[in-house]
Amino acid sequence: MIRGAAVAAACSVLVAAGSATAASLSDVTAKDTPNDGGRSVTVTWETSADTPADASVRLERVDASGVVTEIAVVPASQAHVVDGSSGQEGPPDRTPVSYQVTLEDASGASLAVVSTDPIMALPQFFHRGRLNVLVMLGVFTGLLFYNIWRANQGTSHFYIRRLAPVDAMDEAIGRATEMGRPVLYVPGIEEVQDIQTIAAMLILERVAEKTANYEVPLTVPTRTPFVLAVADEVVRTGCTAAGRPDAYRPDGIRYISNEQFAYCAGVNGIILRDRPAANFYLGRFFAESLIFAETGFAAGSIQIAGTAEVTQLPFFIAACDYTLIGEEFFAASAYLSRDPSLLSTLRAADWAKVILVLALLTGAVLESLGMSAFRDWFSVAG
Amino acid sequence: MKRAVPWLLTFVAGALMINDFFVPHRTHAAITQELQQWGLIVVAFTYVLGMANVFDLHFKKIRRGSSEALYSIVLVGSMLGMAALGIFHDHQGEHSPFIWLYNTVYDPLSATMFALLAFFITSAAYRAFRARSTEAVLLLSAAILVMLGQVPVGAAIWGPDSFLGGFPGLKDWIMDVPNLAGKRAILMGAALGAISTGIRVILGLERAHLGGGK
Repeated sequence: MIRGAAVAAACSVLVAAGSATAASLSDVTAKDTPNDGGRSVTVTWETSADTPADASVRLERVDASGVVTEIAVVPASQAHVVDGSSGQEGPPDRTPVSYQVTLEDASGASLAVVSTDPIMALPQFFHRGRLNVLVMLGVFTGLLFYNIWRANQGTSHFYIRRLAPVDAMDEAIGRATEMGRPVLYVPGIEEVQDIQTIAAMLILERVAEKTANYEVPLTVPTRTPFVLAVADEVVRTGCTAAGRPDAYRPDGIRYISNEQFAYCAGVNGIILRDRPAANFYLGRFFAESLIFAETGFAAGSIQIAGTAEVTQLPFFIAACDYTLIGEEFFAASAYLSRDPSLLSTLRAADWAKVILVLALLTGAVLESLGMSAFRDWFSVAG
Repeated sequence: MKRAVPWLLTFVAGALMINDFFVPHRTHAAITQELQQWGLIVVAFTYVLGMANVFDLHFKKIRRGSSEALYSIVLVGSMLGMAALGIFHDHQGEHSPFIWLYNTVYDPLSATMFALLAFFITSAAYRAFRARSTEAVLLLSAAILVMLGQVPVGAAIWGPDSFLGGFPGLKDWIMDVPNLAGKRAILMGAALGAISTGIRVILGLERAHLGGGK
């Protein structure tokens, strides 16, 4: 019985009788496809130099009982076929199968036939090409746990750089209180599973807490009904945390439309009709970012934006009063909470950045010296 | 219990999704795919919630007879009309009333909203490029160089065969070196922030969506 991931060799070569050319196959191998979920074998071959350009290879799978199944007919120059790829049913796991590789000319006449030794497809439990990601994630998670542990011990003081846009949130809500106008909170246009929408929901809780304290109406228009449900719960939580559950207004949390520009028109309508004193645009935005920000500017609102979407940041920076850029946006909820265990995660992210910068410098030096192994270690298999 | 169970569900689902990146095994993939299917089903049900929210809000406005009632009537009428056409008429063919309304009413309206961007970019650029500070002067200078490098008249004034590659060469350098470096720095910081936020949620340190509290 053959076990393991890679066993193959050409075991027989037949050159078709009467063939005009001596084209042949060599190095024919069948290996379990690495880093996959099983039921897949990769067959490779090489052709001799005199193989016609229009020659093709017919690949057939032969199971233990001798049943032959055609897998593919591909140009000979392709040099490999994955049996069990792109939705095609591959060989069963842990069952020996062999492959017959037939080199054919344009008329379909056989030029050479090679059979491989039996091979078994096996599923893998770990993707080896992603070991580097696991190591880096492990290091970062270790830093996070260490800093959370230190925060829980109460022995560490965390200095957090001042984030002007977050500090300005109080100012903006205060302005809304004085003007007697509502606060608008737009949590981006992505679904709730998007990490930027999640970050927006975390900040929303703090904003809802503050608006409840100041008795300012809060409007949260959402693009998807799932975000509506989460935003509703988060605002209710914020109001309760402020000790003002009565400040929760279900009418303020609105579903507008799933269509991007219909949503955009709906939010613009709210800005122009309600004239909110403060607009928060926090989450993932696309083409609508500037339309919101410019409409808000025209309505005279103080505007605070935050996103990790690099293409939209320039628009927000140009049109809003304050902008949370990339990581600042993710740090905002921890910054607002002042909870040491949350703040400690920001320190872990800073340490990880130091490691990244050191890795970048090391990579630049080694690459300049012609050594690419360090750089190659960071490449991630698809 | 009220918070522990949702947190446990968040933790298990989050951990499974992270594992999915590292574990190619068919059984694991089947579990995560099943979970994602459940997610899709839940999303489908939330549309009922969304519609209920829209009806509730706008019927209240109509009942109150507020100044915005007319907009609400148009919105509810359009929504019910499109739904009725989609349900009771053929909505596949190019000439079906549903597709016709979509192509001739919704599409142009959507394109109009998108087209507004051109005007908003101009007004935002005007404000951003006013040279009020050193940073604004730098921004303005870079923007002028990039614009000149992008348009034919820039190449006519200072062509690509000239010193430094002319305006097109300078534009390429600004885009490929300082601009790209800044973008990558933002992306790296954002990636760390995203991972950090994800872990905070999975570990239950952030629990606004669970009703808050410790």
